[in-house]
Amino acid sequence: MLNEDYPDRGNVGPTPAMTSRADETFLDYIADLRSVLMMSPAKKVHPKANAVIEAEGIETKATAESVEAVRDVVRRKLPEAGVWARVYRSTQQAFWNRVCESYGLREDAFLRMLEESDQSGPGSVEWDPDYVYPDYAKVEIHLQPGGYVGHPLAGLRYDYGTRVFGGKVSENDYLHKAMAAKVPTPRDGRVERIMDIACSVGKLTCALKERFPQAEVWGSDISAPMVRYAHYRAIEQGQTVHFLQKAAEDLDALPADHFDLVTVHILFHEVPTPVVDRTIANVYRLLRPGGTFWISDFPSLGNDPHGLHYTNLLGAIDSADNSEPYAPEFVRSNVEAKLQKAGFSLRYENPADMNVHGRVCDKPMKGE
Amino acid sequence: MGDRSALEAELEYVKDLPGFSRTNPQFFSDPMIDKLLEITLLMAGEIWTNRDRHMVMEHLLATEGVVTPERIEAFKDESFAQRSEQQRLQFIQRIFGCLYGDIDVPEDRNHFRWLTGKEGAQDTTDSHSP
Repeated sequence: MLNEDYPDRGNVGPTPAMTSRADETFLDYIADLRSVLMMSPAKKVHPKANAVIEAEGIETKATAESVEAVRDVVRRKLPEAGVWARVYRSTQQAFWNRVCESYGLREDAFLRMLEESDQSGPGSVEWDPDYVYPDYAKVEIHLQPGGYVGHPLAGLRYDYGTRVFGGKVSENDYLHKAMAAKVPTPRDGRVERIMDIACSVGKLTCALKERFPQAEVWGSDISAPMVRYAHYRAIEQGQTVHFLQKAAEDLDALPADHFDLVTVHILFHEVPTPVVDRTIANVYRLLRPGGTFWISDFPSLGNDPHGLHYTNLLGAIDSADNSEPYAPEFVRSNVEAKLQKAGFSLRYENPADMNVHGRVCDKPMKGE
Repeated sequence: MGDRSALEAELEYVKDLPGFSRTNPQFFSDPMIDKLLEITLLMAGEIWTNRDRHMVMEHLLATEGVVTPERIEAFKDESFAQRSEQQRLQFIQRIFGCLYGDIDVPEDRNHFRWLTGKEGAQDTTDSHSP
């Protein structure tokens, strides 16, 4: 990526590097700051805060009043929880701002890069410049400026931003490669067509292609900036993957009984429940009999009845102040029951390893 | 394609959910404390960034005898990066340790696992550490 005003700093894997070393260094600092000031203290801060919040009789609800009641207790009685929440919020804003500013210095060059990769291969990308996004998709999830759909460089921003957000786990796409290595195959072993729904920047999609090189691999996402950048990223990795701009709830436009394997990684907690329901119905239709549906997402009431259901401090602060409006309704839902009601048979689920093994469902063979 | 207007009507409720629109939260009794803590967090980042540049310049002068802005921007060295990371973690602990009484660097820095409260869970990512 060249721009006459800035030296070419190359890529970090398939991801364009920050425009300056100063930006990269600042973001490394933010990632470590979050590890030290958020992850480690949470073990002590959260239980104490949750006990006080419960003693105050605050019921966790997905309302502005409930969230403000939690913030009010934090302000009055829980200064350490206030520090935790402020670090969470301020570091989240800081890294997105820095990523956007840094790439923004070369915005024209990046837009040209996407225009060129749109017309290049291997693989392909289909997107609609006139697509009208539904309101639910315009949320600035995780505080990303413009969200997933509101800026033409949303995919590029998301790629580097999630490196900071995820910390070490995001380096070299190793989480997605580890997931792809564990994604189950249909019981008959046939994997000729794969669809990765809500593929964002295509990390899992490419990792699936790496594992199943003979398969035709597709990635779909509601966001044009995401699939365009995913295609660029796949080209950088030399992977023949096809990307399609399509909302999960609109996948009924694709042929039925077509795919052997469908994957969905961390979509369900970032969309409203009615979209989850339609997605499950669409996947059932898209899969051929005997095909497999793999879902990686938060534990929910269905598979973790005594687990963390986004209550108290984390529930209030993460949903409201980290813009995760749909996560509470997902973790309090019973997605396992929905899957079975749609016709799937549940092969495996375990809330303790949701990052890798996920939930595994099979579409029954005809007559089963 | 599904019935878009029916879905939109069903989704009207989401506009009232916390987090649908960006918030401007206050976590301390005096909002100025929120601002001052944010300024401190960002300012320490700028100090670290300057310190990194000094360290790179010293390294380049010691090993190559010359330093230019272009060479600093292009500089990559794995052992330098590992030493720098350790120093950065110590820098953060030294400056911000007082906020919680005592803090340490978590061994498991998997943010996703931490967020879901499943820190003790074993998964195969452990054998793929970067």
